[in-house]
Amino acid sequence: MAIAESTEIAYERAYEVHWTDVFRFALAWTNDWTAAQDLAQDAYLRLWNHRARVDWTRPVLPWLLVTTRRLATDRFRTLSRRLLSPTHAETVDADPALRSRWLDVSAAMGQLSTLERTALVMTALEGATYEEAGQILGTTAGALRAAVSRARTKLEAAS
Amino acid sequence: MKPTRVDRILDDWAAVANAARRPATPPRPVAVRTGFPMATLAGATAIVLAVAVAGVWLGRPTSDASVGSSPSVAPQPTSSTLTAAASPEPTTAPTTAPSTAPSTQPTPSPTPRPTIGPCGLQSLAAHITLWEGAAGSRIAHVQLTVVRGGPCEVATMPTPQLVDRHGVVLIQGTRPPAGPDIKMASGDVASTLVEVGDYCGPTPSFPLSVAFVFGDGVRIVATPVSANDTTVPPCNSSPGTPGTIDMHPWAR
Repeated sequence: MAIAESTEIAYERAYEVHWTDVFRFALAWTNDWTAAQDLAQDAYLRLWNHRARVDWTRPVLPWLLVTTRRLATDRFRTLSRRLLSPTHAETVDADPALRSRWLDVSAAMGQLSTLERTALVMTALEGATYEEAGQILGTTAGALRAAVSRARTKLEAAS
Repeated sequence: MKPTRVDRILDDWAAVANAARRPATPPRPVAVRTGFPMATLAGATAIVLAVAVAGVWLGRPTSDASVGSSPSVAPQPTSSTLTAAASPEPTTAPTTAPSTAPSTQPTPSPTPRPTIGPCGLQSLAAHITLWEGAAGSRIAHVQLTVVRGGPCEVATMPTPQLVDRHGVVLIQGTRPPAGPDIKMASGDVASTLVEVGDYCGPTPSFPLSVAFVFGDGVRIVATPVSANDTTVPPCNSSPGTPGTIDMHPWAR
């Protein structure tokens, strides 16, 4: 019982501490506000379902981010034929200014590939090294350097 | 140094992303709520009586179809017309019965075969993991987990329903063709997609969810994606138009 309780506490703490990180990662990956929220919740559900097998003495964020990436990949593989454009315009809460800002920035970031966008956010905003980001994204540091370079070039060139 | 265009975009991205509000409580699968659509004692009593009457009338004991027995006989409804009635009325009968089975009030739900077993219904928990926007519809990602006990054999194609927070049916699906059962051990998770469209009724009581009615009337209501979720399929037709709901087979 004590183990179950401590696991539950660890799970709730992971939720409080890392939810924003997971959401931001999902947002970078999808460029879709609603999908990012859903993915973050789904990643935590996975964590809950796997809580008995998780080593809670180690950082759980990498596990959450890799799970989020896998969920996103599976999900879009399944649904890509039926999806229309992202639904961010109707979902960035009720703040018109925030929504407008998100529309602008998501349009700019939408020029990038998923890897380019996520690599740029992880390294430039989240402070991850290329090696750390590569482990999360399942690719090499070299590939990420190239992706980030392409991302910067695309964003600078965009009018 | 003057910020570059990339810096500005990233700053904006970070500012907007930081505005995201974390749901108050972490998600957990919640135990499945079960019950008949009408959720009344009178309705349950009527169903039991109807089953008993049908069993006597057909000249075979009703205990043959007890929940948990091996699903060895495939169900073959005696009626070819299936309506969209929300409440199950056990008017169909086992196929080994005489061919004069009553068919004046066919319904999509009841068949004599137990569709969840040998585990009990309390072994299963369903929850919506996300709602996906799609072309004029919404797609619910649903997971079914064997949370205790097991093993479970579950019919892969129940009848889907869109329900409100009280379990009231908003859109009734039609019973799909019979499919194979899926075998699940304790802890296993099966998934499906439920596509819902054209809800043109009054504003429902949120959050919405989906329910699955199995052939023998057993009903599982999935836990909504969140308590404050307001997802509703868009109405693309005139008010009062019946909605649509379809699902993929459960799959692991």
